Amino acid sequence: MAESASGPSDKSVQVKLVLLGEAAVGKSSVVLRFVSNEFQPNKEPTIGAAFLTQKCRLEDRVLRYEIWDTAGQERFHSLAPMYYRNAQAAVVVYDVTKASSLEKAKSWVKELQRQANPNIVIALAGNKLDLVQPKSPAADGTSIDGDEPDDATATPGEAGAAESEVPRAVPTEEAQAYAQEAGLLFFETSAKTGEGVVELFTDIAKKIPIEHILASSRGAGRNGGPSGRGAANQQGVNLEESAAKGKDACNC
Amino acid sequence: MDSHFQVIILGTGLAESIAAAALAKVGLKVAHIDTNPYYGADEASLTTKELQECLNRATERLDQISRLRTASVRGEFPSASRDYSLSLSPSVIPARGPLISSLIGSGVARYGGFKLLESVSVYSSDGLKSVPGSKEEIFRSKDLSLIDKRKLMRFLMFASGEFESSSELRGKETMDFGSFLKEVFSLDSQLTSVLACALALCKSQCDTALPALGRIRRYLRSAGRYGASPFLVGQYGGLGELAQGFCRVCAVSGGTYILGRDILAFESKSESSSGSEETKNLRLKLSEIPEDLTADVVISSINYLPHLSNFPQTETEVNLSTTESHSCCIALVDGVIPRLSSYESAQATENDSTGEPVEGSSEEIPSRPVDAALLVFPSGSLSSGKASGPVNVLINGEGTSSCPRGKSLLYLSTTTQNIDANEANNPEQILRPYLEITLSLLQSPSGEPLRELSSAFYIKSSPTLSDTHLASLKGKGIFVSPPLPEHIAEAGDAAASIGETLFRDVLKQLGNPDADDVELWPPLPPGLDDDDDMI
Repeated sequence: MAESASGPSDKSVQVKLVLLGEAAVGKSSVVLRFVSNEFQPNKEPTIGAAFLTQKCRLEDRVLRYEIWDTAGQERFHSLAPMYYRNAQAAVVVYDVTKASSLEKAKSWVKELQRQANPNIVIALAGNKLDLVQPKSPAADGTSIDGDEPDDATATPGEAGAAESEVPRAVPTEEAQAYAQEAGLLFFETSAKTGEGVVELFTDIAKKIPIEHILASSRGAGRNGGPSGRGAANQQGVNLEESAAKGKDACNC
Repeated sequence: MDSHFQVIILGTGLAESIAAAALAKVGLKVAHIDTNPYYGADEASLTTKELQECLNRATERLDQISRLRTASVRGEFPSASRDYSLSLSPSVIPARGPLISSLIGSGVARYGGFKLLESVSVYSSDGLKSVPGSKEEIFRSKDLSLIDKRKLMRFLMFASGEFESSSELRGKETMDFGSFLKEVFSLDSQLTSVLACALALCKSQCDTALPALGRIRRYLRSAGRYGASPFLVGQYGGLGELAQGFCRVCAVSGGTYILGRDILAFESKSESSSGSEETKNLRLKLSEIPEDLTADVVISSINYLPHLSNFPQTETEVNLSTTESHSCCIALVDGVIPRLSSYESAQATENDSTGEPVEGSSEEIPSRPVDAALLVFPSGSLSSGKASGPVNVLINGEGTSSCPRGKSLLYLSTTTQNIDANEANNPEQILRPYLEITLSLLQSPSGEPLRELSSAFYIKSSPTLSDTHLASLKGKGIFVSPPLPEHIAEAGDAAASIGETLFRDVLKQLGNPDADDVELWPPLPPGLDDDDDMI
């Protein structure tokens, strides 16, 4: 476990986490909830940032997530190898109200096992839990009241379905059994209410082999994480830092 | 899918990817397409499996859209395919230049990792000599006589200054660079050859003075920005990885990516809509995509032109004339290559007054393995070699993350000028002798022998298109992205310049009157890094 470490306790460890899953299952919304504790009901399909960062305290360590969204490159199966490169964690998201999205999630898990680092920690997240919960606003009436008339779905086509009661299409037990069999962490989440989201990322953090990351980034030549920035890469060149320093350093 | 785009871009080479990122960032709707199943086109970084597939297609002349030809493979590629990132365009990047500016301006620098090139060495019959990259190194060099040092210093002063207007150069701009050095700076043929091959990185003996001087000046000015070395090497196979980074920037700005589909049909028709404005209607049909994609403007890598059907016949046969070809070899080596004398060791010597200066031979350097180094065989330096120009060998070790621990990569390349189209140009025949001698030279005397695991040889052609064709295509709303120069230190910067030109051309075509003044990379949003909230 983490605390048996020899490294300084205040050192923050950078962890690249990639998101995967079918379009419109709420990948970006889950991250937005985690990173800014916000929810945007009609989010645009892409997030528009290279990656988002969020620190996560874990006992005596600080983990710094660098969260990469697919930016839509998964749509035509055109995710670049760079996306998976050095990812230490992945969240594969499906929609509990859409059975086919779990099948899609399974194929992403296979893809991760093929493309990504073999030690990657994978979590399966069944999102949009709020839509199928009897005690949530749905209990007060079939439509979700107030300022948030819509559900977590970014896809306009599905918005209509959410106004009425949405039946659960993926039983918890089924997804859990699959996750167990495939060795994945498993959570059901709601980006809208926030349920399960922090737990998801905290449990991933607990499972990340931090010592291994620190050790391998100290090792010769091995380049840690999304590169060049952390202590991970002593001999690597950081173009941005040196560029600022080196403006007048013409050597000719 | 909403299938109309302002810009469709064909080919994910570095130049097209830079254009794609810049265009998407100003808010245009971009579709970026590559018929290959990988990013990077002719600059791709590939796994061993992808490289084999790519070369097989090149050899069988299947309908592959690339410039690779005449491939041969020796030995078995390691089955751990993903441990390797093999570059189809092995490169070093000058620390100052358009590519580095674009990497920083676009934010792609954050995605990629970079190493400094440790050394440039030159082969001669008495071994490898490291090339002094600065005045300090010339002072320290033990290989040079005092008089040669003075001549070299004079030359470097000249080359780092504003030589365009100098009396030394006047009237000699197009003289070949070697003769220029001999005539104006009285340098002997050995020094001349070292300067031409290893400092100016000339591709042949007939490189002319002005561009060669321009390169030297840029490289001299690049030294010191990130370290003593003027050059950076990208990790994970270099330019191909950077192309992926620019594509990601395009995607996060809303760009659509479609790889690995065939082009079934391409149509271009000009319609005058109600007399006011002519709209270019370009229509593209891809396999497995039900809807046709349409666009106002198309950027096409030159590789795609012959594959765009429904062009008038004369254009389909496109006069892609080839004036030079490039023989390449990628060798996977079992064993670690010890460091050669380097920029870094030269600095260390400077700081350590008691230390012995490090000599050019590899024997005296302790165990640290090479990350990235360049070795140059000047023309005619190897009696058994038949290359007509210099042969470059880019060495990549584990530190470049492009091969696993305990292994190394050698990229050999040389350019043949004015080839006859029918000439049976065998890249393996040309490069094999250089590979053999490199393996024996780089061997550490105490360590395990270096062993060639497998190697791939191929030719990269450099097609060109006449200006009349380019103009006629432009009239249809099609902008052609030319092939990058096959030059180890120039390809990346050329890609950035081409990318910027395409960006401005497209903006102009779409009616932006300020196209020339728009910033290629608008300022990046403040970093999200200083977010101190914690969960």
